[in-house]
Amino acid sequence: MTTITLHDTPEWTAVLRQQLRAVGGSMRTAALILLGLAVVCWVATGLATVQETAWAVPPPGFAFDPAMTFPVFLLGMFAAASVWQREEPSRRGYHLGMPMSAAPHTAIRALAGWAWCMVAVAGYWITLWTVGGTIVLIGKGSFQANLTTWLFLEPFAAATMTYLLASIVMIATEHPGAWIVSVPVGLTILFQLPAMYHARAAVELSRRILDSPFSPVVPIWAVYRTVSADNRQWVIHWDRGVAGTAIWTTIGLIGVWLAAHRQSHTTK
Amino acid sequence: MMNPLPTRLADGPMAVATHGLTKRFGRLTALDALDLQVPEGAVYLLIGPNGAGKSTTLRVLLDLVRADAGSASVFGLDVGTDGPRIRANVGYVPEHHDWGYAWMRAGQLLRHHAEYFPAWDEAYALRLAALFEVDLARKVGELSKGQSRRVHLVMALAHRPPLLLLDEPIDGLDPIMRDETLGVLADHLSDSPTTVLISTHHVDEIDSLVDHVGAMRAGELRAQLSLADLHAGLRRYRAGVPDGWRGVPTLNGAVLRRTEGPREVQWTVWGREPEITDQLTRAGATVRDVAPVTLHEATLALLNPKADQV
Repeated sequence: MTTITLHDTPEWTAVLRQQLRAVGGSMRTAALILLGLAVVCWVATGLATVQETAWAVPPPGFAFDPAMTFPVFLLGMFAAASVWQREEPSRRGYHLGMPMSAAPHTAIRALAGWAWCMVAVAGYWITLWTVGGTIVLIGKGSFQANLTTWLFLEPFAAATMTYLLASIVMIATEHPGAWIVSVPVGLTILFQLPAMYHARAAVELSRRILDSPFSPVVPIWAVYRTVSADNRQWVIHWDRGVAGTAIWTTIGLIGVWLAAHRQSHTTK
Repeated sequence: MMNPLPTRLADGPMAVATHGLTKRFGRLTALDALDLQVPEGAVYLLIGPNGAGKSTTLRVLLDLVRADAGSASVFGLDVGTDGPRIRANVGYVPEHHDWGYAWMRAGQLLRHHAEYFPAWDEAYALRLAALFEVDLARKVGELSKGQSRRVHLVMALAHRPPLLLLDEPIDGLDPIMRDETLGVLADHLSDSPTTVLISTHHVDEIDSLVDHVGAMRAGELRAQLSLADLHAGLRRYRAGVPDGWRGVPTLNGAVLRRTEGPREVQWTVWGREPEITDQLTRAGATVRDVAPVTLHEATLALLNPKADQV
């Protein structure tokens, strides 16, 4: 047995702190661009509303629609890609060479990326409501929104699901770009095929899946919605959105944990 | 013919010990039942041609690559179960650099690295960075191969690890920086009790540091011995031979290298000098000169792919 005094491994809190710094730094340029876009959007909306208010009857208002949260879907994807950019599993020698177990280390890094993703979503959400507020204030219009708690949580939930699912691909695969493109395209084709071949049973099955909390569309919107009886508007079912979010978030968490454990041990 | 070279060191506290370590990549056997022994405090030079398995050995020791069979330990810690603790006690300079943080400046990368090593000596890191002329303001993704190597050397040394695993540490450095690097390494070893396992093709430049040698070929350990034993047992014999001379059959296997001139032959032979000289003389050769070999010559002899045929 050795008589040499060995060094200790780092505390996981120190690693998390450092990963927050490192991951935040890797997203800094993109964050500044997004911030710039938000400011441009806010100013442009304000100017447009001033012009519109002069002649519009009734005055412009702000109606919330879940579709407005679509950009957070992209934010989730972008955040996952940023965390692991240029670090496919076979090029992860530096990350895996650190004095931490590979799986917790990978999970901590994913957690740091998620934290920054939530900051970005908060920024987007604040911008959206500020823009809405600007329209309402300048145009003397009104908010049209079903203000439930889930309405405010939904973009964070959608971004979390997207981030987790994209992280699985980024952590576990050598060609994440190909996977991120091919999986949505593949699913779209899969759900369209029955209709193309007039296979009624299959059409019914795909419709049921798409209408269930297991629908792969849930991670994009984090809400479940149907067309109203008069076919004129969307009806949002918050409770089913919550169930779908719970299911897909769980799938994402388990997937990230498994991907983090799938340390290939074949680094270059 | 049996390998006449020693492959086991005398018992003692080992910084690194592997037993029957085997690693395959598909059909390729990268490591073939490797029994490596690196004594504590040694500067162990691992030599071998490209593809011999040297880099794979170092990565297995860090648990970056997992072996298919056998075992490996570092300071008594099992590589398979104590990987993080081992990595906390190793300074590693890899042959290839994949940073993952190309946007960071070198100074930021050093601070990032420091957080992972509680024993990090900030003042020493800055001194090393100055000695290696590391531009701390430069982005990591813009560093040349030599500059990357120097940043890695700072990261490997600044937490004063008890074990250094250096994979081609001076490759890509200009001659002046190579000399500077080896000087810094020598100073580090005199200041901090460290075991070094170093893999390099620049053997002639590091011979003043080395005290043990292991020679690998095709994943196998061909020889493993102290430098003192190497110098004592491996000699170059120069002898005149008559026309039509048939050689010395009894030396088969011990001859690692043979070069022929007009009516003169040179052998690099492993064995006791009086016995070899006696065998050459009895076979009709006139031994003119017996000389110890340099580390560079020993490397050529130990890695000679035709050693079994000379």
